[in-house]
Amino acid sequence: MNGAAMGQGAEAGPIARLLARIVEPALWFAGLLAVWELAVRALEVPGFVLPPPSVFLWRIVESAPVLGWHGMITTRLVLLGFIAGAIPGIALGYVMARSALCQKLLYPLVVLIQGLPKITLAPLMLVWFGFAEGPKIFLTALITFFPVMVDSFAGFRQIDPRQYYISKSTGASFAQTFLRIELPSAAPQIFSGLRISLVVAVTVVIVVEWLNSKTGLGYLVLRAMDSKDTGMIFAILVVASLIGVVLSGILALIERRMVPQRGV
Amino acid sequence: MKLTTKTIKAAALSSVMAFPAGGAFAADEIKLIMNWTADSAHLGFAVAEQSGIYDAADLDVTLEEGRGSSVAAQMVATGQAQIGLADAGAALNVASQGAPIRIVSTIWKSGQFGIQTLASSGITSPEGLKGKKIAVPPGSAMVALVPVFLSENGLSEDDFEIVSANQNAFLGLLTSGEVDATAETPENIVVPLAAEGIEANNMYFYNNGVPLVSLSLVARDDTLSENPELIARFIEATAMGWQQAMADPEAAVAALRATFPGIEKSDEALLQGAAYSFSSVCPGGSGDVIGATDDATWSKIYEVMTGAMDFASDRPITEFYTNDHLPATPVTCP
Repeated sequence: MNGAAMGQGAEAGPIARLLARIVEPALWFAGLLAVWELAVRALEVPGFVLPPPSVFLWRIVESAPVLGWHGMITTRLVLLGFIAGAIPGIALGYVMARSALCQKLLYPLVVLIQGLPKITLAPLMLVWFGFAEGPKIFLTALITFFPVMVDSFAGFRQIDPRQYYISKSTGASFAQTFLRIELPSAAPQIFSGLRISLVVAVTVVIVVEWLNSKTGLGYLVLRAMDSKDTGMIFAILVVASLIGVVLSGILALIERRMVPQRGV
Repeated sequence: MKLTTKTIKAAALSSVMAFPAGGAFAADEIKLIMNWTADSAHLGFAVAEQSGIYDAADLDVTLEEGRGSSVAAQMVATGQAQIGLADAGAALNVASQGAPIRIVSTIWKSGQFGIQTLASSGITSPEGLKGKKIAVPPGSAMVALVPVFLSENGLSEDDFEIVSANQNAFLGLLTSGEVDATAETPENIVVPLAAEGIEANNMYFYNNGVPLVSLSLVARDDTLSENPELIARFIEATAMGWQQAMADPEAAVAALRATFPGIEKSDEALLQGAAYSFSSVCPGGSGDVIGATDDATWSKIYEVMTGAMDFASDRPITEFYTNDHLPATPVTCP
């Protein structure tokens, strides 16, 4: 690439850059769908085994009100479970980073809990609590908590001790130290954990709804499976994926506002 | 007299009105946890709900979709629901582990489960399964039923191969030739394959040496002792719902859709499923008593379960079911 071309690239406006970021992946994705469509039709694969993309994309249009309603329920549960897991995750990460004793006492316990296949609790929670929403939020929080906690712990631990000397010398309070030094310093790692947790939360909620719910996209998957409606299952997967993409995008915007030096 | 929806409904209403009402203004609330999401296995309940049979019996019934028979039985045991609809095998297993529940009425008196094969395979009898692969859903009642079915038909464990697979993959496995047979209900295999233009056969376990009842109503012992009349009212109203559903299957499908608007299956598929469901409710045909399995049949079931299915024989079968709450005047199949 010559210098003039590089110069043009550097001078490209934000809209052009955004288009470049969207158009290329979109073209690849469209190409993949086209190959899929042609292959399924050429090989005459039965619809209940693998539907062509045109079928499930049309199902999204056709079933938009149903998918939208259940999608909103899933999104709400994702956000509640994510927040319920992220806040204690950040708090515990901080406590363990600041206190060697807490780290020694709590870290093994947290790792032990993390090692449990917690999703298997979903059917039991149905037996214990019925279809109540609280246990579903709790289970999602339990699973999404760990990545946030681990990354927060790493973020708070890597703060340069000299920053604390400055904080002490200026007589800053605990809240001032936390909000102006510790949280901004750890923010990149915290957001790294939040990004992982948010994507995990979408998957967890779908599975939990599949096992233990009367609403939401996971429940719709169950219904579609019962009626062997493979097209609908793929339509739901696309919608669930879009929820993950949109929520991740919102989180990236928040991160960009809070951690301007890093961005995503 | 010709049995019409109108005459059944009139008889139903007059009959259930004979019960003493729990309250002049507030109907007795009762929650039923179903075995699975709504389909033709639940037509009778939906008809009783939509046509006012439960109302006439002074019952405010909530029909809740479940996540498997074992879960439904456990939810009744933990008090999450007063009544459960669960496969008898699963319910008895839960009860045998100490859960204070028992079967109070048998809705699918003949098991719906069986072996399905493609018509093109030429397999039409249990003997034809020799040397074949059979897909069985892990953790389901079929894990125990398939070996019993095969041994009752002169086959040993070496004569077939069990392939453990999720039932949602069964259609693909069967049509791709990965397996030769599936252990499921004809409604879940034969009906959807027919919709794709593929003909399939079904062999019921019930007709081939495994006389097990299937979907049954389950209640807690304390509910039965504290409020036997409530359970009796529910059983009778439910039987009437099934009677009316059989008299008018199209209306029953409409009632099911009205009760559970999220059903994805087409009316045609539900009607095809209804034929299988009704044959399980009334295996004896017209005049068969809905919801009732006699003591002699229960004893035979117990023999199969304790003999071939490793069911504990330390408690008599009479501890696992009761016919005390069945209607005094039997509700019969049209």
